[in-house]
Amino acid sequence: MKKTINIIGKISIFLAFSSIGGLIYNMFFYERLRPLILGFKDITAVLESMQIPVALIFIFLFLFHALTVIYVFLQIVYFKREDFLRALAFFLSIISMLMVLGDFALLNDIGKEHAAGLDTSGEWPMLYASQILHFVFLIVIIILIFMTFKKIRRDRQEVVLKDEAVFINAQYIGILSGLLGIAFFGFLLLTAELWAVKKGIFMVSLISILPYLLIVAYWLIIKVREKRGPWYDEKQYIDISRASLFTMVTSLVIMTVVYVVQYFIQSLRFLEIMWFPFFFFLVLLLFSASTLFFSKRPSG
Amino acid sequence: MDNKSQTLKNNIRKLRFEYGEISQQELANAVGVTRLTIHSVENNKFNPSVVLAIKISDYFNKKVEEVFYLSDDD
Repeated sequence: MKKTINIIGKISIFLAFSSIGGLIYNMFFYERLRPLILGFKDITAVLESMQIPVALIFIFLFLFHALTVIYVFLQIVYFKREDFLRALAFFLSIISMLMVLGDFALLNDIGKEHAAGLDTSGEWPMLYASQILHFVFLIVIIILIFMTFKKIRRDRQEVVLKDEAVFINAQYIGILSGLLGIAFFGFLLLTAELWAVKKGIFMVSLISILPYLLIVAYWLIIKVREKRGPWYDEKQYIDISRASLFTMVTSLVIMTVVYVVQYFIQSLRFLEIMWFPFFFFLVLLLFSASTLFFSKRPSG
Repeated sequence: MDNKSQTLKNNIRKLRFEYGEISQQELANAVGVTRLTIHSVENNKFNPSVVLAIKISDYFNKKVEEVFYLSDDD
C-alpha cells in the first residue's frame, strides 16, 4: 500500500497543477460568458470557441477528484494516526468532486434560462463560490501530498488492534460536515427564495453529509473486522457519554432560542422548512466537536 | 480517614521502558484498548477501570498497587 500511495501521490501532484491550469481556463470562460448572458446577448461565438476545452476540463477535473478521493482514503487506511489535514483533504475531495458535477448542472441551468430569456444573476455567485472551493481543495491536496512524501519515508508501521485514528478523523469530518450544512442553510436563508430552498434542501443536505457517512461506514467496517470486544474502549465510552449529554443540553438550548426568535420575528420563519436540517447539522457539529474535545482532555 | 484530595498516579511509563521499551501501542494491543487510552492513563489524565488496571498490571507481572498508587494533590 505504501508503494501505491507513493505512485498515486506522484501522479496526483502532476494532475493537481494541471487542474489549476484547467480551473483558470474555466474561470476565463465564465468571465467571457457572464457579461454576455447577464446582458441577454448572443453567446454562440464564445461557446463555439471554448466549449470543447471546457467540457474536457470538466471530465479531467472529475477524474482527478475521483483519484484523490481514493488517494486520501488509502492514506486513512495506511496511516494509523489521526491527522486533521488528512481529514480535511478527505472532506474537501468529496465535496469538491460533487461540486464539479454541480458546476456542470449550474452551467446547464444558466444556458437553459438564458435561452428562455430569464435572469441568471442568482446562479453566478454559486458558480464562483464553487470555483473558490476547488482552489482551496487543490491547495490542501498539494500540501498533503508533499507532507505525505516526507512522512511515508520515516513511517514505522505498528500493528493496531483497536483503531482510534478513524474514530478521531470521523469527529474532524463530523465537525466539517456540520459546519458546511449550517453554512449552506444560512446562505440559502439569506439569498434564496422559499421555492429554491425547497428545491435544493435534499441535495445540499446530501452533499454536506456524504463525507461523514463514508468515514462512518469505513469505521463500521473496521469494527466488524476487529471482532475484539466492544466497539468503543472505556475512555471512548466516557468521552461519547459526556459529548452526548453536552449535545443534548446545548442543542435544546439553541433550538429553544431559535424557536423563540422566529416566533416573535415573522420574517425569520425559516424553521417551517429548515428546522430539521438545521437541527441535524447542529447536533452533528456539537456531538463531533464535544467528542473530540473530551477525547483530547482529561476525563474519568 | 482524612479528607485530603488524592489523585491516581502510575508507573506505566517506567515499566514500559523496563520491559523492553515497549510502545504505548503495543501495550494498548495487549490489554485491548486504544493507544489514546493508554496515553491518557499514563499521563494521569484518565482513571482506568478496575478491569483495565488489573490487565495492565498483569501485563507487567506486577500487583495493581505496584503499578497504580494514590498521591496527595498539591
